[in-house]
Amino acid sequence: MDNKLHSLLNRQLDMTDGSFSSPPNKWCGFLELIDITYKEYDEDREMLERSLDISSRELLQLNQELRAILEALPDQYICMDRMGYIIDYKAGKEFNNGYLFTSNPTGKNVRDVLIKRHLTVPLLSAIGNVLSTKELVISEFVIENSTNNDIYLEARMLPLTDTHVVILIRNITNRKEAEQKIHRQAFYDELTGLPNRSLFNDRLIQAMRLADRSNTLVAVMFIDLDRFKRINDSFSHHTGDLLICEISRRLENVLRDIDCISANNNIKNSVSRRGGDEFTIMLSEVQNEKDVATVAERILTTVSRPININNFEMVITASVGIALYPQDGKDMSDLARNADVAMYRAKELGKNGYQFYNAAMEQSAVEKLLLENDLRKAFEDFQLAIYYQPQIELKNGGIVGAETLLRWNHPELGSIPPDRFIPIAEESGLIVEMSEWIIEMVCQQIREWNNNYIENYHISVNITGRHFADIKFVDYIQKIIHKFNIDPALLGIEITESSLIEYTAQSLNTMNQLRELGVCIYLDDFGTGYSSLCYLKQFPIDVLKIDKEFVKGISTDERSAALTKTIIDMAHNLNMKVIAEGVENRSQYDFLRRYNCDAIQGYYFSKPVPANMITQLFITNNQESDKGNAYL
Amino acid sequence: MVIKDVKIDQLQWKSVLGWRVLHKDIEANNSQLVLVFGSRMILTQKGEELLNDLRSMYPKAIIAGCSTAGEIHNENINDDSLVATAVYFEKCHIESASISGQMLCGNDYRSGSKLAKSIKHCDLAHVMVLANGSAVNGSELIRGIYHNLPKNIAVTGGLAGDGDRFDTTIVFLDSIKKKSIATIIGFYGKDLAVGFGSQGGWDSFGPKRVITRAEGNLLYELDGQPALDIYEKYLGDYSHGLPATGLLFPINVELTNCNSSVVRTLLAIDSNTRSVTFAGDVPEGANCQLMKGNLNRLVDGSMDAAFQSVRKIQSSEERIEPQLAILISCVGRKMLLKQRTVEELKVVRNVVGEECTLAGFYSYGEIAPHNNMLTPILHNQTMTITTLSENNG
Repeated sequence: MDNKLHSLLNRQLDMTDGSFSSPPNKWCGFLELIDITYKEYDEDREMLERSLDISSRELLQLNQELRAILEALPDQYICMDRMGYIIDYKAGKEFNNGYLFTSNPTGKNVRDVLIKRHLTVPLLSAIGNVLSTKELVISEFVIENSTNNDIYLEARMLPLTDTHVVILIRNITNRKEAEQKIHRQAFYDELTGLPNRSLFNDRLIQAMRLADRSNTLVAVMFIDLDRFKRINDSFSHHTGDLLICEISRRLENVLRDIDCISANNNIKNSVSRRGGDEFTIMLSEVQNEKDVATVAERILTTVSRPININNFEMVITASVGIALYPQDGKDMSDLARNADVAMYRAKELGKNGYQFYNAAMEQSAVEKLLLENDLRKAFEDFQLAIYYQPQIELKNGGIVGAETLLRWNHPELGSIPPDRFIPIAEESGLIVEMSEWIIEMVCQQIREWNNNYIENYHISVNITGRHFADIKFVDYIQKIIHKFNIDPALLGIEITESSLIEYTAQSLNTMNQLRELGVCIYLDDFGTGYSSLCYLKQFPIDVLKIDKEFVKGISTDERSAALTKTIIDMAHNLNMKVIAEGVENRSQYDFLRRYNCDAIQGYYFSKPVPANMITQLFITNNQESDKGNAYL
Repeated sequence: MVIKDVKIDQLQWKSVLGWRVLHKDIEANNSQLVLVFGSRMILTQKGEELLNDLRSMYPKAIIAGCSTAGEIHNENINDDSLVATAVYFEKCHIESASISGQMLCGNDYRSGSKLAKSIKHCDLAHVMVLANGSAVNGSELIRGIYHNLPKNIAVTGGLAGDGDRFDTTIVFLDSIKKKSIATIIGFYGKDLAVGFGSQGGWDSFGPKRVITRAEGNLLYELDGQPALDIYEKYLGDYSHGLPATGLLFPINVELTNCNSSVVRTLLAIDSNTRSVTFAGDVPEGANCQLMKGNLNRLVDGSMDAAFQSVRKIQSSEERIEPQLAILISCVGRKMLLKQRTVEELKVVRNVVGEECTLAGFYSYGEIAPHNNMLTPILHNQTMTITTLSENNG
């Protein structure tokens, strides 16, 4: 029996004087029960110890994992009870100490260790909230760091037990700044800082709602800078940007002044940049058109004040189109479109002005669009014809050349004058194709004339400033001259003074190259624009054409006469020839002849005629000059 | 002086000794209900013969019972016996029904529904259920029963046992041959006084784990680890004793929807799928934690269950004393308490009083309302006590 008994029981029996070494039978059952008990308890202990050991290891591993996660987190970790005592704390890798807590806050109350004391109450109330709802609470707050920069923090609070919460605080400054940047990019123009189209539209919607309630108007103004492109082309895009910024500032100032006057506006008036050189202005709670007109005038005045950029003084003007809510459109897109239409109308009427939208404008805009389509078709269908207006040399009365002019015989509308369709061709860009076509036709014609011994007539073609400034322009001329093998001196390029000014730098370049080729350069419409003597000196111009407006006055207006005389003298001094345009009568002719003008052009001698007729004129002129007769 | 309206006879049968009357109170053998709890071996080999004996003794009685993992009569526990407790109610009456396994092809919810509908509902005061402990999803069965009973009817009972073998269990009503999967016993009459209580006494330990894969009462994975791996790790050398030794480590399952938890005990293992079968549902996604028994806490749990039951039976009338206490205690408790198992019976005796007859068995699952709700659920590792008496006022 001894061998089977539990070892401890055996020893205990031995210690009991050995009297149990051979226990009486009646004890055997009892001892057996005790023995089983000992063994059972051993087994139980073994199993419990084992489970304790295993679960300890499991918990240890979990603990290590959590610690590793905490270490890897950029967050600040705080475990806190409902009274605000900090049970556990980890400073967080991305937190320079001193953001929130004093050093070693563990075991202390947040009231004593929170550096930003104003956060104590919200923090404790948030903890209460987390414990009662038992849900994750996320809140954001801003503090200032030691260098007075805003630090955005996000606190994620989770209930740990019924009385404890875990708080993870993350520095989200970078994210916030990125969000703000995205917001700025989404709603503000990057260059000027003005609201962009999207924000403007939002404000416009609000203003329209307010207008409905207060029975007032909203004005939408489209502002486009006149001839802005030449700034970018002549100077640099950087200069253009500076100018845009300056204009933005001025427009803001205009609105600020208005806001000061009418402080009762519930929705602020707003200026935005739509892109390029286009701005929009919204005036809310407007009473009548007159108030809007006043603002428009102020805008025009403000914009046209000289601007000094990099020691260059420049002047730029604007054209303003205005649409009013509700009469000119019930929604944003209608208002924008109609203000745009009005702005174009202001441009058509000579720029540097403003126009209120009206339905007739739309009609003209539609017409224009139709005309543009027709013009394209006309060009393809040969409805366009080249006419020639001869030029008479005053010294001997013979024809020296002609200016080419374009005629359009519309199949339905009849003859359409150039001043109606040339601007359309310019706007649509068709003008380049058309000009090249004219040049080609003219060169071909010169070739033809030369073949028939009609020689030495100078034919000039009008070219727009933009086309003239195109770097490929000279190549084209060279190619055509070569193609038809004509004397370059017989081809003249007419360019207006205003387009020269618009594209100064490149124009000068083109002129020098044309001069090298031997092509003549005519300065058209002289006397109507800037009439800058400086240009005359600077540019290699062969022929100066005195504008017909000037010529009109020479026989009646002394000042015009004096000026014309001066221009002729000056041109001769600069080695230029002078042609007077629009000569319609004998007295103008006499005057010009008396003051040594080189040639004239006008109805007094001949209206523009088609190619066959000018050919005939040239033939007759040749015959007359052979006889020694002058044409006039 | 307490007047006993509920009269009880208690008899025991053992293979060598045969029948022995333990207690005799009923006159003229007019008992309405005989509850029979016996070892599976005895029921299989001699069951039908013994039930015939009882039928001849109590010809009017419904004879219902099941196999066990230990039979309880008063403060005694036997493993290879059969204990019959015959009850006579002065005013109440009894109805019963059973359902066989083939009937509803293993749809345990529908079996429960059918059982509940097969007894009269009028005047119903309490329901007891005995169900198969190895072939039934007890949770589903109970849901089926409860949803088809009148409101405010509590359900108590248990799942049959098979010693520590976890092999085959038997539930019967009148005859063993019928191969029932569950028996329902309805107690009728306004004078019936019923109390019930259920308590475990197990402590959770170790890390909480998430039930990552489970189907019904089949647990596949905890935290992505095969459930059987975890059991084998914790049991070490004792894992060869699975599934029995698994009872030493039940799990506490947190029920996500009602903010409470239930204890689940292991009934079977499958070493191919590395899964573990529990006596009740283990919902996927729930948190759970291993549990261990503390002998004193288990005994205290038993006492708590007795107190709950007595408080309940006395809730309408303080003078009412429990006259029959049906104790259904988990086999896992018995395996842990071993020689001290009897202590959990003695504390019940102390609470219910000397006059009360104790009957019952060690089970593979207990049925009782959960917490303070009436909804019954399947418990594991608890002592569940149903006390009965009649109002003599």
